[in-house]
Amino acid sequence: MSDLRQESPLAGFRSNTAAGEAGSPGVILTERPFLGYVNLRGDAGDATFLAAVEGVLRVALPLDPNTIAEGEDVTACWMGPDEWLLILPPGAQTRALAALGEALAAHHASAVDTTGGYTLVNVAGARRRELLAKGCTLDLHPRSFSPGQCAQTNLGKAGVLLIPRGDGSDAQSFDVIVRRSFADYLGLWLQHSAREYGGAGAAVS
Amino acid sequence: MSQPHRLAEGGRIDRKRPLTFTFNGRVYPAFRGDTLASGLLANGVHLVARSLKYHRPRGIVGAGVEESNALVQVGEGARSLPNLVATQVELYDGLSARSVNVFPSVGFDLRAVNGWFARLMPPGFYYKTFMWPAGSWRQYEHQIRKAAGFGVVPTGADPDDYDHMNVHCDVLVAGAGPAGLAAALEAGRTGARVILMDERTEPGGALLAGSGRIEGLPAGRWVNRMVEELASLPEVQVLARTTVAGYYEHNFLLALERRTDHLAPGSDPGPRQRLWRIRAKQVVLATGAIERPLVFCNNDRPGVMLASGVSEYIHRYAVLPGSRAVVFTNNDSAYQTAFDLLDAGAQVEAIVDSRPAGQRSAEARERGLQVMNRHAVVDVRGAKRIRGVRLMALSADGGSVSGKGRLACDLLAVSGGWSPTVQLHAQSGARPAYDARKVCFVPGPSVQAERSAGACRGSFDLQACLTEGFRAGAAAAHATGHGDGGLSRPIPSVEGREGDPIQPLWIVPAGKPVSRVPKQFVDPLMDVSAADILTAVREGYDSIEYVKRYTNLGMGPDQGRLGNVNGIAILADQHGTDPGSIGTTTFRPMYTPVTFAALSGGEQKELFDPVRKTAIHEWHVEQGALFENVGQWKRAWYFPWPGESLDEAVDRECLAVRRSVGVLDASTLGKIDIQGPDANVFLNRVYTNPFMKVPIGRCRYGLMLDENGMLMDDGVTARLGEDHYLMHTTTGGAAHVMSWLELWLQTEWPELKLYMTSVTDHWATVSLCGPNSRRVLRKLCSDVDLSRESFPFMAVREGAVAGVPARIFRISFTGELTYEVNVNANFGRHVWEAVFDAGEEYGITPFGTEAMHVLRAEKGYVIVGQDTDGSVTPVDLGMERMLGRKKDFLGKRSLFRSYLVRKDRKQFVGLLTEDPKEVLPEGGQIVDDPSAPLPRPMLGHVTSSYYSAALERSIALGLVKGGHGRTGETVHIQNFDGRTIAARIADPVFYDPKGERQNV
Repeated sequence: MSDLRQESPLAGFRSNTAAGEAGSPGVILTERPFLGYVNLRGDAGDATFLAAVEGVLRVALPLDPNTIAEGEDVTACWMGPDEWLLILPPGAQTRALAALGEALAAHHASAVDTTGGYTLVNVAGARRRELLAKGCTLDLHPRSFSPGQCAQTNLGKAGVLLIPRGDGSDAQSFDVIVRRSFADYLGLWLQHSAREYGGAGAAVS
Repeated sequence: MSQPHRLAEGGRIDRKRPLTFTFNGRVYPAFRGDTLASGLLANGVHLVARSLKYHRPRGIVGAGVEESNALVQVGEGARSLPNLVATQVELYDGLSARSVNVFPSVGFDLRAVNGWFARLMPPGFYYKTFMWPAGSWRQYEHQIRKAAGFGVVPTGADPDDYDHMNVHCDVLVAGAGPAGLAAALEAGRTGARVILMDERTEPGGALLAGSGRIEGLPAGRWVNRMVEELASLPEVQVLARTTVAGYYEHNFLLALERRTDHLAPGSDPGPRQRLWRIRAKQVVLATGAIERPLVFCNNDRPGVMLASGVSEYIHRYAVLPGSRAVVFTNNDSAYQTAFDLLDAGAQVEAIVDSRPAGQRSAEARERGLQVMNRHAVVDVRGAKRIRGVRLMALSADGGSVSGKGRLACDLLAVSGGWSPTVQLHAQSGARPAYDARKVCFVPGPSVQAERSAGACRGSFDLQACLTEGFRAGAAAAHATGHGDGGLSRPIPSVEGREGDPIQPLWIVPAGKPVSRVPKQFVDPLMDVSAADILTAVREGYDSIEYVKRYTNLGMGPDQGRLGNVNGIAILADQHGTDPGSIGTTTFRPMYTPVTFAALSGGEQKELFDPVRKTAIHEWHVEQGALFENVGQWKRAWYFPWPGESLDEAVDRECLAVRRSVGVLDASTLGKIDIQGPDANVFLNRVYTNPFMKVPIGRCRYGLMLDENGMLMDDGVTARLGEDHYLMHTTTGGAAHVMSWLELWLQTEWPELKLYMTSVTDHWATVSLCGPNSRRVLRKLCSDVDLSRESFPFMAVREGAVAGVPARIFRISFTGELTYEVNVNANFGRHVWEAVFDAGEEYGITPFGTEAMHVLRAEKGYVIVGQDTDGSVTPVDLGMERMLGRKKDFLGKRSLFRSYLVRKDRKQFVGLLTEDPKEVLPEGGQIVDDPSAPLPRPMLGHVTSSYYSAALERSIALGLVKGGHGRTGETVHIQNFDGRTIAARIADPVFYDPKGERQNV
């Protein structure tokens, strides 16, 4: 499938690199398109379900609300008491789905491919928090939102999943995961909001 | 260029950065750091405005937010802002401003004749006068509206950016005067997250407007030290030019930051204004106090200023607003202004004090000043600038006057005491209380997590402000878990002096009844005089809220900041009670005006509402498609060839589908993945028709009703596996259906085992429709047997299309052979383009939603939301066959209510015009007898209407009372042009009624 042309929801924005301040622009926006996404549902109270998933992902699902668990090649995000979003390297969703299907065959659970439904924009730079605070009403201060957590919230008028990234409590960047159909809007929103910070957009495939 | 009233030294202006500005067409010099008001006063300009109702000449009164006369319009063209106060407009080189409410100019205002007839314009004048003759109000209104109001709203689109910023903090401190600085610093030292906001250019508040010393330092230097320490604290944020304007539930506050209003337009890339949305665990209000004017005759004349304003112009801006001054006061604070004037080189003719001799007057006499105790200024001379004052001796109770005297002067500095700025406290839900000793309203008990410190609490001396500020900061931080509530270091000491109490003096008597003397303004901004309030009381408006509305007291842009307390006290006097029993009017957000642009933030134009796009959207754009909005989605509407009209393009697209093959981007349809052993039970309950036994690999069309039995959504659900289904919803209904289903699952049927996942965005849907669709797909898909036998209508298969794993549904909304190819949306465009390459030999044609609407109407398929409106049942639609008889489903019971089983309900029918070329108007009302007298009984309306190229005639769908029993009858439809069009009621399926074309 690698010879087939994929197109990111933010294709239109990738080439649109605003000229930032020389040196360190206040905001650096980087799209990471084509990651694998799997929506996983199951009974968190069922130890055999949790064990089966851990056997596949090699990381235990996060059970605390709004937290993530990171495995070698997967980030599992708590989305609800019985719901997780698995973020995988590009293409890895196919094998993960097959393995989960097999491991969970005897369980009441569902693993659904939502790979085409999302894209991810990483927001870094010194003014990253201010940029997000323009459209997100949550408290993004390191004292209340730091790596290891995640939040389903709004950025502007788009629903997003927000994941602080980095070491320690002060997130060096934030992953913003948005539904595909809202990506264009979110791109416009980010571009508009980053203007005063000398925001730069770039893409890494 | 000279600035005749600029002092040679001092002030916080930057003399190295001279600038010029324009006011009413004249160019004046000033310095960076000046406000428009200080710049004008430096140039000797006092007359800046005309009053709202009488168009009296008005001058600058204060130096800050209390200013209520000097309303100006700033800037040119689309950037222009009306309704700003000159004391808050910071000058930049080239700024242009002009007076508002003047015609034709501030110096000569024709409407000033209103002032000559002022006696004829009592409160309620407009209500009383323009009521007759009935119906004439519209004509009066036009002229009145033109004469009223402040400034002009720009007509061009605002070229600037605005945005919002959401912040959270432990302690929000509103106001950076001595109390606010102290509170922020003390709270900041604990490590708490602190935000300090102040409306002025720089922190310091009254400290920058006076000559006091703290810890042996000049106040300004002490402020600098505080600001430096605040800047060193990483969790403290200090914002200047930011007014905390609104205080709401749950300690949510709004503040407006004027980010670039002080800069020349276009010199900063960021937003012009920013609305801060603040969630504070604790709030410290340190909003200071506003000096009250005194109410005497002609107290609105240019040259009459607040004493504190005069001092501020001298200290902060090095501007001397007059050369011969009289100071008129009922309290101690104005003495400092007399000393400031003296020190700045002005001649102080006298201090007129309503009180008997006291400590301050002795001090003033020691400095060689004339103090006239138990005297009052009863009137001023001069219109566009005062020339002198009239004085009289005041009785001990302040109730009567005698004698007479005159003093020449060009400046009258007045002080009637201080009003704490309790607005935010009141907005938080608390009730200010009256303090008879301090003669002002002070904060009452808190109802939210807020506390007041300093002058806004009625503590007017500096030592108290600092003490309360530091303590409030420590306590607020402690309440958020920071610090121990104690002070980190000793409170700085300020040299203090004992004083004499203030004497309440609400109306300065003039020796005659209030109604017989020149106007004594209470609210100059709204031209409300003491006599107006008395008139209102006499006419029975005895509550302050009535007086406010009857006289306009406090109704102006300043919301009564300057005049309300005097007005309340005058009303209290009339009732023989104290102001506390009268109470204040309701303080509502915003404290100062907030622009609509800032409220909207960046949410305008393309950011007003999200536009949802499919993975194939850009292809449609490249092909010149026009789009229509479906919910938040943009869907390709039609794809015109050059020169083609909508009708021509749609005819061509429809015929391509009927004759060969067309392709529709159906990605927007809602898609819900449903998995679990009870999925079929669940589907069987939410759909009207049976879903217990859908074979694996097959699809079923379902109707979904709401509790009232009305059609809510429809779509095809496919069974993909033993416990695995995929539900399709309408495009616009997707989100609602998902929450509707989750609602039932989570709250009513939690025992059902199934999981639902929205997969709408994951799949791109390429719908190939038409007799050649199989041939096209066969070229791209080798691993699925596409033959009728192995892949029949209403089946689903998985395979690879153009190399991409796909789900293919044989479902149809056009009545033609159709394959809906679903792929991971990342490959959507790839597959779409492959389909076009493969279909080239068949003249494959993209078609949009308009052609789709025509094609489905030819088949009589309803569109939920177009042919239905939430009041239509499946029975009305003639779809009884879709109602499961042996099972229960949502909405079933409602269908048997008497109203829903009536035979004369509006029912879904086809409509065929007598003239096949005539297309009925959608929405057109249907009547039996077009010549019946009005109001004509209406039978229903046309819901869908098109020209069908395939049938070579017009077709329409509609809802008609009892329509199912009226097939063949003729009805009449009202057209927009007044004609009626005859049409025959027909079966709604116009094309291929047996459904043979989709079943090949």
